[in-house]
Amino acid sequence: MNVSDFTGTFEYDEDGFRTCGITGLNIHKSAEDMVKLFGVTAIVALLVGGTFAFFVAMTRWELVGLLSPSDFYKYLSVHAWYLLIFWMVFMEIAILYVGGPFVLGRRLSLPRVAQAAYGMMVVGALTITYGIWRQKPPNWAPLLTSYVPLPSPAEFYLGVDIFLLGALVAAIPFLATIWHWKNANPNKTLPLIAFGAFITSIVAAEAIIGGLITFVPAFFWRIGVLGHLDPAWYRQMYWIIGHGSQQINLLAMITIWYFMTHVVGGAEVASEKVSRFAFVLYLFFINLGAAHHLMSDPGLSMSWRVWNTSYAAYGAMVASMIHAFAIPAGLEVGRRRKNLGGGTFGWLWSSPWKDPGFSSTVLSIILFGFLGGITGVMMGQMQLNMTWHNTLAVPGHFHATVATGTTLAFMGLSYYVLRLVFGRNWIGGIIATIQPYLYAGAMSVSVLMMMYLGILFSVPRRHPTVMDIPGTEFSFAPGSPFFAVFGIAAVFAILGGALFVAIAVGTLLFGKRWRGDETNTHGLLNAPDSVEGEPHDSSMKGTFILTGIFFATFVVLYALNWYLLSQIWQIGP
Amino acid sequence: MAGGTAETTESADSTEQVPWQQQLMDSIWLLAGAAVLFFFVSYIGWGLVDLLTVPQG
Amino acid sequence: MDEHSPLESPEGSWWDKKVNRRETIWLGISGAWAISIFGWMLGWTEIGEQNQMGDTYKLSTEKFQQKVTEFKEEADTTTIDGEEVYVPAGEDVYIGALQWAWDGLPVVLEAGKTYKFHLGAYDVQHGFSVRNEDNLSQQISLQMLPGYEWVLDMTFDDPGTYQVVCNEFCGTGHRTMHGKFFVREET
Repeated sequence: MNVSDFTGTFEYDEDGFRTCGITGLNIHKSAEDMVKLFGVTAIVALLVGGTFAFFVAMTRWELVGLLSPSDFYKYLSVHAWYLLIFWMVFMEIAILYVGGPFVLGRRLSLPRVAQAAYGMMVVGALTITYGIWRQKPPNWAPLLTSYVPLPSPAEFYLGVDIFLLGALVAAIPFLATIWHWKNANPNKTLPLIAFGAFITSIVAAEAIIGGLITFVPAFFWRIGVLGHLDPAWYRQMYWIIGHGSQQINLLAMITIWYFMTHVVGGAEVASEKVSRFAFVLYLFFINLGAAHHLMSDPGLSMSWRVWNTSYAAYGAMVASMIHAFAIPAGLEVGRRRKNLGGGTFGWLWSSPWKDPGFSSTVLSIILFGFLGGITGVMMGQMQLNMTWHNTLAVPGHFHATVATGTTLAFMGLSYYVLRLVFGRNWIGGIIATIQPYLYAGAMSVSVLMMMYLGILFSVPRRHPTVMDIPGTEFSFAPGSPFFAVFGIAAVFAILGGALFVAIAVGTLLFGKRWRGDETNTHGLLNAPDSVEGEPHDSSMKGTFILTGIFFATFVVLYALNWYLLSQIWQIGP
Repeated sequence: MAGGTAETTESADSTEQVPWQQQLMDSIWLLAGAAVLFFFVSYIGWGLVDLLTVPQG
Repeated sequence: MDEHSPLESPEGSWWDKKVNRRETIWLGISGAWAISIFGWMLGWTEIGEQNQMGDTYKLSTEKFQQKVTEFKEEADTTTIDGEEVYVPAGEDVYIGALQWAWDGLPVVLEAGKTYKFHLGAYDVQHGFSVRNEDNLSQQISLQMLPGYEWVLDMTFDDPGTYQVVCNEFCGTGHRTMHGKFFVREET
């Protein structure tokens, strides 16, 4: 008997490696330690941000009206930074260290750099928090955007600069690991997940560099060294990190989809060529979508707007649609070839829906696609943007993409990090099974309410008192019933998120030792080892029907949105 | 040490037959550099030109 | 283990492998959809009635404020429901957003007449968010930046009251920024 029998953690050989019994990966301690550190920190950020979510939601639901207006902006800022940035970026560094060293079976290169980066990111995050929390006039709460010339506390800008630099530095060990692997294997192709992680890191580097171009001058402006900062230039640069950070989320999420559908569902790669081509389209075009936020701005030409908002004639949308097919297709084909389900949808019904790692992943795919992706394309169309810009539909959209899509994917991955990295099984039994469904369902309802309120009732975002506007009788009272549904759904969504954190922390502290075997890996360890033929020879009929439904939904919503726009008064030349 | 997968012996011989598109997809540093350059031109550069050419009012 | 695993390097010339027929069809659908919606957005700039395209000018906030003041001085006034309302002298309407009010509003406009809206901000960024009081989904938002003047044609066919709020956070008084304009049939 030794300590690891009780703690669940694994033992390493004298070189520092261990082999995962489920994935077959050779994992080195240097990488695994960092994955644990960054991953657990991400979950702490989720806890803080989720707590603040309660205050924000209960203020926007004005029947409750929890916070005063000035507190609202402060709490909203903390909620935003902790969830949209810290929960996401700490987890993404962990994902890079899985996608690189874990998948390639290598040590993490430059582990001291990774540790230094972690320190910088934590110092940056705490400085940002301090800047937000200590805000008082003449400074204002920064929210996420801190639009010049509305001043935020100087510490805020400094904290952002430190955090962003730390995140950039954290990518270096990942890139170095890839570099060494490529040099050692000049004729080999990176595994698809490592390739996805690489693309994620470059998209991230672009976003972060944009952030530094924005926030370093902004800091010097705030402390009086730089006299003037043009607001249009600031917006254009800010949104590189503003939206780019969310594109990191997109890339990381998709990489996880490939990983989780394979590890838990038995997916294979339907076509290496098609999936990799899609990642390359993302690499070139996805960050152009920062332009989405500048559609209703003065100064930028129609051509610039149309070209950039469309990610180069929708090149990156094609990429998304490719993955939307390739991932379920990989699951369908992988399960068919493992005799885990025949007929049109047998592969789907036989999937491990009680496994929260699996259900989180699939819910992430469905909700990101239907709620997040479709609305993102629509609101990014230059003219449609007028009806979406700065309304509550904007948070509706990004709660769909980030709070259902990416967060569910990260939750799913975390469930398996608990099993495969920490070697422990989830506490809570049936509660762990239910948690993803509760969270996904409730958050989806919240999201739909925010979108209706924004588009159909023109309710603005970032506003604490739309039911009671000083100095006028006018209010958004017709939207009240929808706010009530939103408020109740938000409470359940936050509960679902809290359950996840409780299960994760409880598992780390009290979870029983878990090792994968034939009884608890959903038939995958028993599956035939080598199968005749290629994945592309198997039927993808089920996937084709599902994506057909998705496409039909897309077309209908697109048409409805344009119809709504056509009913507005005449604007422009 | 490298590892992680069972290796077959054919990989060293197959470079001669690998199509150029596959070689391009495997040239990850070239792709990354080209993409970042494209972004700087398409989003930053062109946008800056637009803003700098806004006339005085 | 698995030869087609996303965790392993694919062997040989994976580029030459066939693509499943349904996947190929989907690629075609995706490409066609991309071109369609790009074309639609571009086409709407020519054939559509709602395009936020208009001349932009750089000028100091003082200069723009002056233009709004001149607009108000040249305008007539009338009274609607006990409120004093500007009647634009010509086709130009000037609106200046500031912490925390809408300078230039309220105005009354003629239904069916094309006006040139001049939008700008005196201090920080604001959001020009307009909706028809009788039909809240008839609504748009446009960004107003200090240092810039954006001129957009607008024609309102539906008479009524159009409520204006600010939807870009601009400080504590942000929630109090409210204005309106009226659209009336020509008399």
